[in-house]
Amino acid sequence: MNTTGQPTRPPIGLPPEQFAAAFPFHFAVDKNLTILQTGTTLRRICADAQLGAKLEQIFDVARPEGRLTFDWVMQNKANFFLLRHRASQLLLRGEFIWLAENETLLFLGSPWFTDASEIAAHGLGFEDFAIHDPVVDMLQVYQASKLALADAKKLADKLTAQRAELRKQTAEMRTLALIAARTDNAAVLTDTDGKIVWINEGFTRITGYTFPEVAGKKPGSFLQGPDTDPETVRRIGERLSKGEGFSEEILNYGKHGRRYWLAIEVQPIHDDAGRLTHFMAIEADITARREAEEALKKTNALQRAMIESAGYAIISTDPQGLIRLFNPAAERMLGYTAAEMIGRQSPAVFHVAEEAAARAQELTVELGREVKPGFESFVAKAEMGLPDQREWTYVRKDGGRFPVLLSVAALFDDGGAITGYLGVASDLTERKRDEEKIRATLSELERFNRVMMNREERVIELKREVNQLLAVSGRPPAYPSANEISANPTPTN
Amino acid sequence: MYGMVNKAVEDMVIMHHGETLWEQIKSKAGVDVEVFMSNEGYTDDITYSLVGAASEVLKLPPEQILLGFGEHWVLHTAQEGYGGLMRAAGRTLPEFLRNLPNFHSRVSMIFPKLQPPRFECRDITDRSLKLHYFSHRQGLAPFVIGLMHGLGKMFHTPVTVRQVEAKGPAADHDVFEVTWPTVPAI
Repeated sequence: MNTTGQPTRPPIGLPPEQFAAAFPFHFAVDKNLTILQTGTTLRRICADAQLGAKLEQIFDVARPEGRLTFDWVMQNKANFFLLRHRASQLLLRGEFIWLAENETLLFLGSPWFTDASEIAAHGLGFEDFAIHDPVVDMLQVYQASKLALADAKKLADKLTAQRAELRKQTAEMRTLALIAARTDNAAVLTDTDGKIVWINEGFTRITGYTFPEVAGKKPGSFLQGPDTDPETVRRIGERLSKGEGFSEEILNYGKHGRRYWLAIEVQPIHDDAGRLTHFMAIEADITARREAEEALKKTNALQRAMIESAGYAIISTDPQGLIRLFNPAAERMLGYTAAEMIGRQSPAVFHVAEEAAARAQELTVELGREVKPGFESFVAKAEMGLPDQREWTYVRKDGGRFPVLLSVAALFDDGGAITGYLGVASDLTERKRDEEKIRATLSELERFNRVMMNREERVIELKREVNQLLAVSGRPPAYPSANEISANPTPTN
Repeated sequence: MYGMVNKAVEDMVIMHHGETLWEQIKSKAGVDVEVFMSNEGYTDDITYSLVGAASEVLKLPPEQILLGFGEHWVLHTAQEGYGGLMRAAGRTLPEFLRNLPNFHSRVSMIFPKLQPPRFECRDITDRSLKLHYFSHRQGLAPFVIGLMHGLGKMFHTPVTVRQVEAKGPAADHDVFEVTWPTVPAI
């Protein structure tokens, strides 16, 4: 070892095969740039790089820029060289070393690639490179960074798309949140245990409770009261425990004791994996509707009782005349059952056709338009909003006839369209019989009166004859009043 | 675990079953990673959870899932990222297998934070070799077998893989005997 730190005698003297294995892409040239030696791999892939070939005929210099001559190489040997093999365009990166002792210029280098695919494209493989050669490592680094860039781009694209989607969703959410907050309905969000985590303004308006008062509580624990149906409460509990949605109507109590009816629709909310996370309830105050329904129910019951128990026939039809209502009195009167008539027959079935035809003629004259015999003759006046009450003859199922007094009214909807007709008929048989009786009695009385009057006139006449006989004998009249009546013969009843 | 492994799981599920099922598997596994960065390290739990969830959703045993992932890795995922390098790493199956140890050594050099497995090729003949697989991870032997099958397909070489030693109390690593018909010299 001398002072330069280098051994005085070279400890390494590589035989050509080992040198070629260590530097498979090397070559050596003389001062004329004639090739003296090449690495095995270089010889394989650059077929023209054979011994004796001229370097400048095979390679161009890519870096540094200049003409490939011995002197130029020697001037620039402090730089790295990038040589391009003219035939294959393979780039070799390396350095020139001047071996003065042998007067040989040695090039040590290896292929320069910017993409791993170029290795195979030049007919090379990893095994063609010396193990110490960092080119393969560099390519792996290069490939890894390309991959990282591709991943980053994929991530960036995905995030950009997600951000756009998120913006869209945020806008939708804002709208939905506004709707949820401003709706008249109450909206409640609970956790999986049914405890409140959010309410909207509608909830406060309906129940009177604010969020701090109800947060973490189960709605049923403070909204239900003595008249709340326990069966409904049980059903709700069952569906919630199964994580299922449901719709119910329930009577609840507000903060200040107000009773109100709610129509509740509850939906379970699941995350992407299908796990239950919340329950959402939308609750509409249906108190007015329930009260109206109750009132209607009572009215209907009253109406039904009136129709069922009425002593007169109540028959309604649709606008075309098909019977829709046929009350028990109508059944009794006409001998048909409601089942036989409703939806099957028109009132024409128990009317006398000739009467209807005659009435149609009358109405044609009266109304100045043609009224057809049949159902129209019963309703033509009513449909004009005119009162129509008159006597008709009804025909029982068994063929028997009887008089009725029939009032017909048209039924109108809110828009003024006719929805049907209502007929109320009372049996005139009894009344007719009574009238007949009265008429007969009056007639008898008149006859009797007449008899009595005749009898009285005869008595007066006899008395007058007696008075005349007495007058002939010069005696005063026995019945002076008879003479007075005779003088003033106005009959007294 | 190398992000590319998780990416292989993702690629395979999406290729065969679609994005929706992949999202379902990810959600089931509790994994909230949008894009796996190939060269980033991820906790091993992520990979195991993904395999577990995929096994559950696809109703296949985890070993079969890992086998499929190994094959998919070679034929698709690694091809996309390292196609050029893989082609350069060997013109034949045995040549590629001989380069496998260096390939993983480079990964550990380039990404010091990753803990890639270590491979050694021993008992090399012209029709077989013993691949020694050293990993601090458990249960990935089927993945390695899948990789070998994938390589067999990549080189159009029928390959037989037999696990001759399993990591356990008696052995600190797995050993696979890989055999193939004679490959003509190139």
